[in-house]
Amino acid sequence: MALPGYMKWLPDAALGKLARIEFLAHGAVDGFIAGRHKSARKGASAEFAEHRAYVAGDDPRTLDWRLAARRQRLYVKQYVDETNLRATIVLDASGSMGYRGRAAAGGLSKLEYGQYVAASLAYLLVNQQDAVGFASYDTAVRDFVPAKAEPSQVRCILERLDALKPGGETDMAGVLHEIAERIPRRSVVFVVSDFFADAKELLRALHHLRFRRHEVIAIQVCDHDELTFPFERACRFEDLETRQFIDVDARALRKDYLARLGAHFAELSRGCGEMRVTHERVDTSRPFHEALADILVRYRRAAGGGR
Amino acid sequence: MSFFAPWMLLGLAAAAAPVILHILRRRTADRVPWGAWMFLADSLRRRRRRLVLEDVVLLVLRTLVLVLAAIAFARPFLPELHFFGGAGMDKDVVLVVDASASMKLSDPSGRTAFDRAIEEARSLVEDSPKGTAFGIVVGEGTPVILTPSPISAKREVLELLDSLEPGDDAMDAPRSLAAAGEVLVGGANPAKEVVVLGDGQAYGWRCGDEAEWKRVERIFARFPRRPPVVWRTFERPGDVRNAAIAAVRPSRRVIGTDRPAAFSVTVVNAGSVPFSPGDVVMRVDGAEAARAPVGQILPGLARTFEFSHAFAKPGRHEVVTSLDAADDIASDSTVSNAIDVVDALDALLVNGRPSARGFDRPTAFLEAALRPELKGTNAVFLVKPRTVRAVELENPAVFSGVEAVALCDVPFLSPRAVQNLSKWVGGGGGLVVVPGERAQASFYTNELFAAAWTNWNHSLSDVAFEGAPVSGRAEFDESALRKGVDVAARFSDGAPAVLSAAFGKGRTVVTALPFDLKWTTFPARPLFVPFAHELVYSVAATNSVSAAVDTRWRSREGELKPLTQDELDTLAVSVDLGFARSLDDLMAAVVGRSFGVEIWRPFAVLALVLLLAEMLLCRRIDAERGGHVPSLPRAALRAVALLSLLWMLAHVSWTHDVTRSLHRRVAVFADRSLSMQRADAGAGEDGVQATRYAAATNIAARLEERLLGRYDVEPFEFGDRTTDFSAALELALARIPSEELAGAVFVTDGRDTSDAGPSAAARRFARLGAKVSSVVVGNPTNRTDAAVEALSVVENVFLGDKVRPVARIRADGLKGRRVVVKLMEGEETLDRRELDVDSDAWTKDVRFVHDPGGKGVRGYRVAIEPPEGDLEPRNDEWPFEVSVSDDRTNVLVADRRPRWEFRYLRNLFFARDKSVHLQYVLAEPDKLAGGAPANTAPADATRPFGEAEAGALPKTRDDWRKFDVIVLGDLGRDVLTDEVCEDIRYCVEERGALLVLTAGERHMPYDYAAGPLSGLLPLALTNESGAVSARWVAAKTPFALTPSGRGHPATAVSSSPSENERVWGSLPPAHGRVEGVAAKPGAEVLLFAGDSTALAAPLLTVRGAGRGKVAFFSTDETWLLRYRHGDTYHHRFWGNVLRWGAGEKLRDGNQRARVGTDSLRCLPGETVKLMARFSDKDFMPVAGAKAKAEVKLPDGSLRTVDLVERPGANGIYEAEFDATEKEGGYEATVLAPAVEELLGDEWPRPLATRFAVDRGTAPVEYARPAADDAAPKAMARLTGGSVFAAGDDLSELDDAFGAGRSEIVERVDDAVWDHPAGLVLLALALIAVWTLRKRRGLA
Repeated sequence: MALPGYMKWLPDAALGKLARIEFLAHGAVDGFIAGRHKSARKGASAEFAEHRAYVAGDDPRTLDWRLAARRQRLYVKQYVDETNLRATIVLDASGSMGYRGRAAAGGLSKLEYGQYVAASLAYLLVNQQDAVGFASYDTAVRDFVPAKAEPSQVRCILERLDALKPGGETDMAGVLHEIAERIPRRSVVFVVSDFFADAKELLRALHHLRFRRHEVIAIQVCDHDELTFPFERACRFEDLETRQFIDVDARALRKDYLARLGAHFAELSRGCGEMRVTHERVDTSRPFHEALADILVRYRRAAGGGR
Repeated sequence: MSFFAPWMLLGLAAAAAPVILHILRRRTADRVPWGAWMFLADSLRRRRRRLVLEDVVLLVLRTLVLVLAAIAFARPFLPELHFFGGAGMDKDVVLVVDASASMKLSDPSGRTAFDRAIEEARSLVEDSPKGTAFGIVVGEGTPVILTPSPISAKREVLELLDSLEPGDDAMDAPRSLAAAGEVLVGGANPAKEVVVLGDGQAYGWRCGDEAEWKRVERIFARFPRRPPVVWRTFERPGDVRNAAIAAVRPSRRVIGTDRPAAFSVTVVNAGSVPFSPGDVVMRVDGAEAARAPVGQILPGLARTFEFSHAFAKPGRHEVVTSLDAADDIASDSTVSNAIDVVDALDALLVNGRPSARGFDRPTAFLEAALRPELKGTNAVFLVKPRTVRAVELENPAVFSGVEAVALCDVPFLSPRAVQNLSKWVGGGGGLVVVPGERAQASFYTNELFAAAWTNWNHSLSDVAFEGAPVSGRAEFDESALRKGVDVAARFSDGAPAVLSAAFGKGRTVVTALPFDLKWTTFPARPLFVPFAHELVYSVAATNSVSAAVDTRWRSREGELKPLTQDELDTLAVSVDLGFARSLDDLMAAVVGRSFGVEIWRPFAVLALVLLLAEMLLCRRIDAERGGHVPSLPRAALRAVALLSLLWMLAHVSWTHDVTRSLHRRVAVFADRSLSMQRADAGAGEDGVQATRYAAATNIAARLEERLLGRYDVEPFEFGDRTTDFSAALELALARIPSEELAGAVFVTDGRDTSDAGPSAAARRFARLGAKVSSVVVGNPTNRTDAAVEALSVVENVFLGDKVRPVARIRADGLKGRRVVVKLMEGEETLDRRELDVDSDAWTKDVRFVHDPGGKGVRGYRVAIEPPEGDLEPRNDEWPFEVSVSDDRTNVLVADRRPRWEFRYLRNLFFARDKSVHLQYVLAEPDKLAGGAPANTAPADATRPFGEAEAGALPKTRDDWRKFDVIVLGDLGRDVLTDEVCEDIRYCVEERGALLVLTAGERHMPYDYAAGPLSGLLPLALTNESGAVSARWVAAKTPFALTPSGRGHPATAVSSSPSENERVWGSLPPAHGRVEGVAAKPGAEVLLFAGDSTALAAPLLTVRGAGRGKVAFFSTDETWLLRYRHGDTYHHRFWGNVLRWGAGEKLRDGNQRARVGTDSLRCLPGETVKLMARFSDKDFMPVAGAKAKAEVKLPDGSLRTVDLVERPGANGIYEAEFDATEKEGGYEATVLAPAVEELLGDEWPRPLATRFAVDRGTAPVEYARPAADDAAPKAMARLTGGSVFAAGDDLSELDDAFGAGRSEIVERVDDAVWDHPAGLVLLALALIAVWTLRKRRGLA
């Protein structure tokens, strides 16, 4: 029996690779059911979290009597609560994501690359009982699927992904502000984009997500050509979003272009670092499952290896 | 700024390449849909200005490199600037080294002028700056070009100079300069100069030869600046000793083995000092035959020696006459002649008075004189007289083998005898008519020899002939002599003693002396014997001197006259001539003279610099953009471009030898004349019946195959309408360069039907060493055939006159039968004759007379009823048209005395041609005592036709202007007063008349240096000081055509240029001429005295004056054109003059408006000239009329052609109409509304003329069906060729024309540094580099 068309976004090779990986969020997340992730709420788990001053109404069973004896004040003993994850995958479907470089693995455009990454993430998370939501945007939010932990969520997301086409000019900062508002609870937000927008605006939008206490993982998808600017001849460059063009000797601009690109990346990395947003850049010349696996492995290590 | 090689500026087109590449590059840019737009746009915003700037600078640099290189290759120069001490420009200098015989003259040190010329030429070459290229032309009669183009390798030039040697000819200066000009054309340098190294001798510069100098002028005009000619003249040695043989003339036309032949040898002292040249020696066939000491001759004088030699054997003998003169110029001391000697000359003496007593017979003394019986001697006599009776002349066979006939006191001849005699004389025989008491003057006057003796005079006293007293003689009415009759000898009282006239190809002599003893003792005198012999020789048909070498050119080489100032002034018009009197002068003129500054070098350097700058900029941009990748192809192309510019700057040239292979060519002519359409047995190969043309083309094709192995073959066909060998030969001469012409072969049926005959053109072949052979196809025997063989008729008759055709009827093999001859118009028989044929080779002239009635073109034909068994039906009729017109030319001839010129002109115009209305006036007419008073009526064009004599010139201007042609002789100011001259000036300048002035000894033109007539004269009569320099000189004046005259319609007495030249050249010299005159600007000299230059002694000078024309004859003996030719050429020449000056006769219309064509009949596709003439009510030509002609074609359709006013003609409008292929009658109607309005009722309605277009039967071609090898044999004899029959083995022709191939080695100097290939290479290399860069994405 033939598989549905949307299943193309979950190739066997990727599934094989990702099946051995487990995603654990760095910080606490709000979940529905008890799971492997720390809950934002203190709960009944065996792992001590912190002490806080007793306030009226607290369960007297949570009082730490030993501490009260030492400090002559009442403290409530709190434990880390374990919960399942809520995650939202935000995919940039703007025009610039339609670029398809000559060196891209499998000849994928940046959007297709992002679609594979999003599909893989959705599958991974749902597979470990986490709730996954999905949002895509270009000039505005095009799709928004609230997070659910149901197995059918993967199909839902895949269908949305399958229907996705590169759009027009993006206002990435504005759209991220909106998405930040629309995600109801603290969760992990995967932003898959090329982040070719004004760095300051972009960082402000990411800050908005962080302000809402979301854990943000920014996956920057860049084509190899965009990173190296390998053009040797006179070229007519056409803006994928506005359809403007310029005729120019590519070599005459390469140096300056790469410098500007580097500066942009540097500012983005610095800003993400400051607000503890995980910023990962992937080159479409690498197979997406390898790049995603690396990202997840690095993330897990950064998260302390999980339990 | 001018350019030496402006065509190189085409290279500027390459300068568009960078722009095109730039545009193409934009169009072929890779399209990249780009995501990271914001970074790209930012970068571009920052760098855009710089990128644009780099692009623009590169574009400009590249364009400039190509522009500057193209300009540099075009060799710009500034002609008016003189930088660097006058040595700004490289030069091409052609050294013309005079190698004439006079250059062998040596100075006291023993060095010849030629040695000095070579030395100075060497100095010039050695001391000239680098970059000067030299060419060498050896100045001889035919200049030799040693270097096709100037060469800059000095060593080569010096070698060539050292190889030169002087020749024996004279230098032809204009042709040498023309050759120098041709050499300069091949030169690479912009500055051009010609150096002539010679001895300053005027002869050879041909100052009067305007056409040659015009040619030089045209060649020199090809250059941006006319090349100056520097003439380095070497002083002649003070004393030149030179004797030359000016002429060797045999005393008579027939030279036999019977007696010694006398030769008159003229030796001249052509040097500058009295000189005794030793002996003059005549050698016959290598053996000395005669010798005489010359003795001393003063400079400029001549001495004549009489030699005699008895030729022992008949045949051709070589006679070499030389001087044992150790003089300075040896080449003019020897002359060679070839003499044909005959061993017998048959003479027929016709006895008109039989008598039993020997010396009562009128032939007795003549016979005895011609073949005396000298007992006891072994005397041999050439003339073999045979006496016959008059009746025997009725048998044509009696003329067989006879060279001369003497009619001695023959009373009259029967018509048959007259006919036979006429035919025989017309075919080349000689006739002597001797009077006697029985000879009937009326018979000789009317039937045989018009205007012969008139009466007898028995009792003369004190009259002698050549010293012998004469007691009785016949007398001639000299004033009534037939045209063409010359007085060959006179009695002591001036009365004619011997008259001579040409008759056809033969000659007739009439004596006034009887050859018996009844009235005179002359036959008994010793003088009689030589007289009788000379008489017979003079008419005999043979001509011994067949090949005499013309010595005039060489003998004049000895005259060391320098050019006069007048001649120099004339030359200055054509060439920029300067003189160098010393080597220093020469060096200053050649090395020190600058023609401006050549500025290609700065352009080339700038191009090189900019190219380097472009390379550096590219490299920098590449490095900056990180795209610099070394590329071998690009580097190699760059190197090519750089080397191209460096090559140019290095100024490299290549001197080398070029071997030119010369392929000699043979012209093969296939005759396609109408007679070749005849099919007769024997025409084809193996005797098969075929048309002659088919056989001829077959043979010609085989011949071409045969000859192709050895020669290049030029196939021709000739004979569109007539068989004209002369035209064919001249075509070959025009088409094939003379050095390549090996010969010609005709495949023909042989009979020449042209007017000119092939001799003159064949002689030109002979001079080139080219042989003319022929293969004669067709049956050479006549069979049963009757034909109209020839027709003589005046095509244009005046209204009221009768048409008088004379048809020659021939009948072969029809003896005893009857031939019927008819004159027909359309199908109507106008006249009919029945003629009995009494021999197998029978001919008869039949005269018809018919009154054509009104004006128009009438179509007649003379036809014979074909007898049974007639071989050729196409020669049974001869169609002809006659135009009946009332166009009359009014001619006034006026002179002081009845000079010969006047008499012949009067006779020419008077009543001979009724279209000429003559009035003649003599200021001092002959007055006869007791005679009728002279007619004193003034000349008036309205007098009745025939009343030609007038007593005075026209009275009023109105009377004057009615004349179209005014001929004025030696009239003084008493007759041609200022008022009369003013009227004449008016007639010429305003009315458009032709004025002909004939010089005389007393008045014309000396009296007219001032006054109204002086402005009309084409000659200047005064010298610089204003004194009249014109004077009459009694000097022998040979006629010679100037180059202008060769092509002028007035002097064209034959349609063949060679024949025309021959006719003028063979005239006996006139006895006087005007000298001290010079042609005015705008005048054209057509004839000049051959012993001088055209400028010094013009004989016929013409010019336009207002609307009319003026011709001036500097001699009064144009009647010499009648010498030996009757009036044929005299009449033709004056007809030409009238047509040229007064316009053609136009047959239709009226006095005011006329129309006509140049011919009545033409072939389909030929061009007919339509002409119309309009004059207003005052006979003034109408100018500016917008006229056209509507031509109605045979099918009724119309074609319109515009009539254009002929420049310089008095009111003649003309158009050329190309006849269509449609045969039939054409009618042209003239439409000129403005003239019609002007003339009102006098406009003829309609003004129309008719002409016919058809292929014609060209009856002359069919007249004799038999093949005839006479003309081919004549050509073969003159050129050394052969004549073959169709079936002969032609293998003899395989190598009959000498070597088929030869090689010429020429040294050439190729200026490779500015070769167009350099520019092409540069442009291609650069464009390729830039293209490769663009493809690599580089700037």
